[in-house]
Amino acid sequence: MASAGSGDEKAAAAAMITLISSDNEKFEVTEATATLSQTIRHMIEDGCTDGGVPLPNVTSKILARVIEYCKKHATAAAGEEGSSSSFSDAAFLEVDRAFLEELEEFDDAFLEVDRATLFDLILAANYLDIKGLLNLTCQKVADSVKGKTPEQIREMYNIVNDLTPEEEAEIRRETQWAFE
Amino acid sequence: MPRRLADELLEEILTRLPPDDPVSLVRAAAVCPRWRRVVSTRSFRHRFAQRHRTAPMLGLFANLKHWSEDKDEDGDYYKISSVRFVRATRFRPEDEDRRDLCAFDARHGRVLLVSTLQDAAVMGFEVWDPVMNELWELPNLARSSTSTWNAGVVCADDACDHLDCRRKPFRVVFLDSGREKMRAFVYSSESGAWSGPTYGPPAHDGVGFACPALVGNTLHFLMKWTNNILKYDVLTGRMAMIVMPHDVTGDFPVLTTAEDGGLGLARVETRDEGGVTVECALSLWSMETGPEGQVLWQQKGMIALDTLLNVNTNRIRLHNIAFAHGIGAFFVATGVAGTDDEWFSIDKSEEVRKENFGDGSANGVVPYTSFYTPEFRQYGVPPA
Repeated sequence: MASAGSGDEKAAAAAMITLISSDNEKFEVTEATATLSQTIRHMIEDGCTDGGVPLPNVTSKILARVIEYCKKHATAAAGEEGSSSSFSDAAFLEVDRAFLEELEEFDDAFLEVDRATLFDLILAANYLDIKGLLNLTCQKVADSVKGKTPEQIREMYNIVNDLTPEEEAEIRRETQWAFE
Repeated sequence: MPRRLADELLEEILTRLPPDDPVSLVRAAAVCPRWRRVVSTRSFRHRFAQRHRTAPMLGLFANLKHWSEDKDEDGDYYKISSVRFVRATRFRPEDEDRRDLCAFDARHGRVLLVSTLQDAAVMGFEVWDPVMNELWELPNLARSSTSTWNAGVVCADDACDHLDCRRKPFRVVFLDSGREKMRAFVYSSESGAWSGPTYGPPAHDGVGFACPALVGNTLHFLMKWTNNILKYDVLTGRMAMIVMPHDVTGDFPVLTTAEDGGLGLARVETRDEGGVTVECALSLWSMETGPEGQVLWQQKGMIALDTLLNVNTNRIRLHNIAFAHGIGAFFVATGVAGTDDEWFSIDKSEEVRKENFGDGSANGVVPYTSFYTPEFRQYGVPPA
């Protein structure tokens, strides 16, 4: 196993995992970061991460973004666990809220990507089984669909309308209230 | 949506559309055949409900009275009863107004309607699912014309999480104060017939008209004079009475349920000064089980109706307050004799909203909470 770069981290937390993207780029990440992915967590538990974890479905461009997300959220999770005793309740809540706000800002900025990247992130989040990231990215797409007409949605996502005019008329007839 | 997002991920995305905005879901279904197929599946319905857990209020049923346009044989205008679906979202059923019916209860996607045309000795019931537009006309049920009664509709599957059970069989429980004992008749949609009666506790109490409340598999009916609560176990048909302590009973009670599903009660509390009512509030209570298994009632809060609604206390119609289970909102009417009542909803965070029911005067409402997911015909695909 590769040794940790920064000496101030504890040995257990500093265990490093190598992730290998589809275009063969290697990423060194801490176990805490990597295990936000349930898929990788299971591989670690099964002891099959020596020599790196090949991720043939994820490009280096997307993997870099996914790791960025996991690092941020792993830090937040560690912060929450570690800070309970050293602060008074009020101070703890204050720190907690600051953390959450920062995390929310990070998530918002993280989602500022083009549609193709957003879909790649959904696919990666699904493949790597990262619940938070899947939720974040899917909600982003759902929010973009909300309140739009079918025409607007098709245009937004380059969807060919292969409903026949009869089928479309049937939908509109059955649920007239949704098109008024 | 690029084809590379499999159906499973498209489902993942579309289940995140808000349940109180059925328009978005229907419009998404009209995008292309694949989207139409994905939102019309059983798996989608199930996951949509699982994700959001609390069904939105799609609308409410207002029991209306209005005067006829033409005169009867004696040359008089006459009163017509009807039940109207009043929208809370954009969803509207095929028939918004249904004549000669009165809504009594709604649960698990269905509303229980009672015919207002029958004579006092016969009960005519209909059960309606406005989303699926399915209607069941129940066989008439004879009853003693002097008894007091109430009825409730429930899903018949006792192991159900009730998130998506509108296609499952249902039961209607009709409770009346028999000559000596409380009697329950049960209609089963599977057999299409009434069974019973089964007998319960002595019928000292009259049966009240407040909507019954379901906790687990037990329907709770409020009694008329004592405010005791009759428990009816839908599974076994067994009945038992919860005797209410004096400090909890009071005027115009409504049965409620808490977020965790526990039984509660709201009652009207007024304070008089020199014969004039100066304060009017809803006092909220919840039923808990004590260390020795005894029933304990805890006061959980107060809603100051007069200040919230900003009306004179004598304008508040205390006798027909309704509660929407799940979302935890109250419905209260205000008015004076001779004018149509105005209705307000008060949600969990005491946010007040004026309701508009259109023409006619509403003398009671039954909130309708249910998930809405469209189910469009699939060409060449058997329905899920």
